[in-house]
Amino acid sequence: MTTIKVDKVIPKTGTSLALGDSGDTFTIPAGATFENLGTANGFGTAGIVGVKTKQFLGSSAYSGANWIEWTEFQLTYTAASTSNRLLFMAQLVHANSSATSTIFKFYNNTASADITGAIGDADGSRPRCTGRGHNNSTSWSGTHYLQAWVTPINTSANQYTIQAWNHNGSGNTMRINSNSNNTDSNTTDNSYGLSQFTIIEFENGIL
Amino acid sequence: MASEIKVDKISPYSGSAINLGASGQKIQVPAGVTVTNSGTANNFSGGKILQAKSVIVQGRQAISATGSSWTEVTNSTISFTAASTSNRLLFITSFTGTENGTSWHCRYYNKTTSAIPTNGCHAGEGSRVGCTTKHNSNNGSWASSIPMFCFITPPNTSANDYCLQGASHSGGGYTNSNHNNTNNGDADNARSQMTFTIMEVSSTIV
Repeated sequence: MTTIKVDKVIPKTGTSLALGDSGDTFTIPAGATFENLGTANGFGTAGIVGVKTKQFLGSSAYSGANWIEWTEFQLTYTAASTSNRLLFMAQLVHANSSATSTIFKFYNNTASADITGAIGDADGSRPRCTGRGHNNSTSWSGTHYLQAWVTPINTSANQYTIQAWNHNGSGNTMRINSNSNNTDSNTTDNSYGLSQFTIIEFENGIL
Repeated sequence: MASEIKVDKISPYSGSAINLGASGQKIQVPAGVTVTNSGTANNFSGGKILQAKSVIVQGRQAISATGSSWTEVTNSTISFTAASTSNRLLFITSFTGTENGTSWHCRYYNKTTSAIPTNGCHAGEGSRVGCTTKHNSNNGSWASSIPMFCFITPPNTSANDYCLQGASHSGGGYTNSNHNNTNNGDADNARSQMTFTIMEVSSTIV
């Protein structure tokens, strides 16, 4: 085996240096370190390139008809590339003041628009949502889960949020993380849960 | 003073292998320099999520199966080829279902092996049917979006077709809507969507 000892290897001509021919193997021995301070192409994807999350621990109430933003979940995210994909995940603990449905959707506040791929298909007059839940008593609450894959519309900061709509409209109150009564008691009915909205950016090629 | 050689190519002197440095030494690619791998690089992968696939399921579908039978959710199939059986597959789904005043449940299923995925569905207990997750609707106006989280052990490194299945207590189940399905603009009758995602997670972290 021949050995050369040198501190730096640079191209003799031009700016490219080839390492061997097809079939050759270059080995970095155990204990040695190969450190990239420049750009490495073709060495595998990073997978997850960004994560942001917003957790809410309080108990908020919202009244009104039609879509209402739950501002606790505003989450500003700047995608690294429009070729990447954003996984939206939300765990929502919620209740309302009458036995009725609550529907939810992810929404882009910056674009003032629904998010492609994050709402149900159009079908007559029916509202289009990401996911939904219901409530049967003011003593009760439930946890539901929303998920969607989103294509970033640009690489600028976008404020995403969650909107909710309760079936009984303005005469009804929605509540986050607790039952509708929100009584200060140590019964299970009155426990607080936590709600969370998370965005994970996946590098192009993973999905 | 640092020594330096200028060459256009570095090749093994004999055979087909060459070592870069030795234990304790560092080989560095300086800032501004690009190193491109056009061959095979082992152990260079920076990410631990190796691949992912996802499918969006739109539209209302009947879940009419009852008892120990299951209804496959149309357009929910993902063909996934695991890189290694040592890795784990994270299955995550938001499943929206309904019934007319009773229970419904859902599960993951491997159509290729005609079996429930390992660690992806309860096998059942006695006569009780196993499922991945379950919920209920007190009446035909309501529906729920519930999570389905599992780490699956890949059965092999071939292509496997995984899908969503559902069943309901009285045969009146549906996806992505309430049971009544009235055509009006209230929240009860909203349309939702479901997203079924599989991520392969490296065995080095799970």
